Amino acid sequence: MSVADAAKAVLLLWLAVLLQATLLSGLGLVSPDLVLVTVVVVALMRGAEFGAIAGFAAGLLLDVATLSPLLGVSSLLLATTGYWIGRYGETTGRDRSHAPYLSVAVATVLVSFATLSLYFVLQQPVSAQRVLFHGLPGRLLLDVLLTAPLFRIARRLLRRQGMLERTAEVRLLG
Amino acid sequence: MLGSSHQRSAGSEFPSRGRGPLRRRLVICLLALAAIALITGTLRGVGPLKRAQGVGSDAMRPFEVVTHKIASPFVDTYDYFGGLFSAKSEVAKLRKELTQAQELASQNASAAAENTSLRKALDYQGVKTFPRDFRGITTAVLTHAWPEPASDVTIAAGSASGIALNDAVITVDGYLVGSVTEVSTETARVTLLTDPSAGVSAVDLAASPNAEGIIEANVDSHGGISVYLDRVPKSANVKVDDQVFTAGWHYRDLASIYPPGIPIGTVISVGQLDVEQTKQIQIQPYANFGSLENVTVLIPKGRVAGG
Repeated sequence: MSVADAAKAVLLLWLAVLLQATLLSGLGLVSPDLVLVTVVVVALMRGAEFGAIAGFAAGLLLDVATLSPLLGVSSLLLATTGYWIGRYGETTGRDRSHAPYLSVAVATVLVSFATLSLYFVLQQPVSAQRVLFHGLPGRLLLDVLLTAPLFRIARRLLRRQGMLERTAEVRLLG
Repeated sequence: MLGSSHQRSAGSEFPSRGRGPLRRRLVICLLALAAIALITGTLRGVGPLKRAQGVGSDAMRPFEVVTHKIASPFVDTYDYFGGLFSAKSEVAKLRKELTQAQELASQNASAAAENTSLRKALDYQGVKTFPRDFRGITTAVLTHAWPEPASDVTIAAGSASGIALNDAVITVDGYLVGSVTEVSTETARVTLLTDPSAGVSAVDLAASPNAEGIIEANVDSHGGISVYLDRVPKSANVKVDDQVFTAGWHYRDLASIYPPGIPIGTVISVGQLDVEQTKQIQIQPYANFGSLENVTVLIPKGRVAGG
């Protein structure tokens, strides 16, 4: 991955954090998780290692921007998400058209449960009823709806360098 | 040909694939450890970590302000069309409130005049009162908390403007919003009244005897957040439509962080059970926590802005 490629990914994540913190989270409990969708899309395109680092950085930025009393929680969740979605992208989900949608849907549900679990473990006030029953269905739908445009933007920005190389390596038989 | 050395380049688009599983696992382990260290540090209140968070938040502030400015025409348009649907019912409600307010204003004017003359006669030294002993700093709401937006917000002013920990925060109209729970140079975090950890001592002055209690927020059966005036004894004669204000108690050197007299909301239901010692009083807060755009931080007069 080139420096320019990494810079584009950083810019994409930074914009996602900015929009999430300032506008989207103000919509209320049912609002899309733009940062999560972006991390998933980037991890799918760039693999586990980059996904984990991108998730960690985006989470840290989000916690800093919102002056979160639990600095590091978003980093932990998004780094783990980036890693596992990256692994999925590197192995099973590679080149499958449904992979981004499936990844975003699974990540949205699991991250909601993981956030709640962490908050309970850390004894922070949060309502499971509100987050899971009233927030999650709407968020799941919005996240999946966001996937297609975001994936398109990310694919244009982070063009797959491997495609040309792979084609060049094919040798005609006979 | 199948046995030839030409293989598909599996991982040029996924750099981590080619580097082996050990490095990949090492990276995620290190990141997880760093995140856990950050969580532990913030929970223990490590100073440098909080300062670094504050510096980071200050650095993000200009971008957040610009984002709000760019988005404001769209948000205003959305609010305008959203407001059209509820305009009719809103007008009826506001007319009723205006009639009540006019009645109260005339009663308050004579009570205030009497209060002033009695204070003078007794040379009474009271606690700082709202709004006389405070100056307000009105500032924009920058971000909302995640995953629970009803818990706190960050604002675009900090210690450089004179804001300090535990300062009371009200809406631009003067209704209670919450208090400052974290301050950096250019930003601050405000914990809202709807956060379960925010307890505000409040009083219903219309009840006889005055009903004092604690404002607490709980999740209701519909998943919404309801606000209650808790710990009010059954003997208090609280009625629906009574107004609730901050109590602003003080005892020796201790005092409530909220000055007395800030309007919180109106009583919308009163109930009591035989097995409970106190009443169940539900409050409808005046502040609309779902659409906070600007708030005012109350700063005691005489405090100098710090850096």
